[in-house]
Amino acid sequence: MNRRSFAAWLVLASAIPAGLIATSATATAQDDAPHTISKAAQTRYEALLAEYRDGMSAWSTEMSAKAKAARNAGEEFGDDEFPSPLPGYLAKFKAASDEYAGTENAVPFLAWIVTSGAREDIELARACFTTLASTHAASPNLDDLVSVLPNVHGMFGDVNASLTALVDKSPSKKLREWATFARDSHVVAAEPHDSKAYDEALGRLITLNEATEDQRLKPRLESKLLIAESFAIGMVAPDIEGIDLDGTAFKLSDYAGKVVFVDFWGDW
Amino acid sequence: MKDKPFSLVGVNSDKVDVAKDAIARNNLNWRSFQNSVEGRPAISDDWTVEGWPTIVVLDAERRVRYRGHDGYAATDVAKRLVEEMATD
Repeated sequence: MNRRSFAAWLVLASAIPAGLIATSATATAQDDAPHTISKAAQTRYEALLAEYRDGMSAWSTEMSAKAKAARNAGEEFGDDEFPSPLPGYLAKFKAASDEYAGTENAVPFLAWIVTSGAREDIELARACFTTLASTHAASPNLDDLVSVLPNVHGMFGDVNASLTALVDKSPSKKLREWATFARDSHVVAAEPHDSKAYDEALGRLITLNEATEDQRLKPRLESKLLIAESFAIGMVAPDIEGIDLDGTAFKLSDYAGKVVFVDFWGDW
Repeated sequence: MKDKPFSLVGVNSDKVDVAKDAIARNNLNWRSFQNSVEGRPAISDDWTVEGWPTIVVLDAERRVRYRGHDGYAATDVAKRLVEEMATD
């Protein structure tokens, strides 16, 4: 999509009613499936969550003290000498989600594994994300997933089918908007700028940008739209005229005729 | 990729002495732009870089072929482009 057609999209988007994004909610509102978490399951979840938080906090405090003591004694201290209790908590959340499998009671346990367990077991977290999208997309109890959606492809790879299920079925406007953002920003980054898939995804992002009232989502959307406008696959990148680390001027276009790997890097 | 139509160009966000130290320490051999030079917009702003490191792979006509944070995926794209140039 060139700048001219991008501008046309903006005009078109401004003419689309803001309620368009909420269209799928009409369908999910008619979903008669029960979405109530039992009191027993809720109590179990809250107790496990408190146990996890207390346990991780105690572990962190103790590890810091051990590391400090080792430093003071001039000894080395590796993280593996005092392993995290996270795997144990993950097993408990997993056991609960298995016990409640297929019911709304499983949702908070699965969502916790996705949002807090991914750093320990990415495959399990991905499987739980897929289960939530395939079995529980109409649940009103999935808003915690929003925290992983900005980086969901970095974590789990291509999960656009799951994101589409959330976009189509979730009763939560917030979740539908973030799932749309995650899915379609991935598409505009991966598909050629002159493809139908790119055009359709860009159109949805522009519509979302016009409609959303989410002030955390809006800057992210605008950044993705800027990238899609100038750096989509197949677009000619702007030249860079700058100086190297010795202060000598050079340009990106000096490398015309070559494949160029531009690495934005630092010594962190 | 030596002797191939390929170049690696950096855009570095560090102070110059920090960058030079990293280059010496890690035996890096590619040329880098200074990202921020007084009086000019940062290159990373012009290129809407959302996170570091970011990699952009350009073909011989400076068209974007990859943009993201996955060094392995970027390398695969670059290798494929170089191979395509060799067979053209």
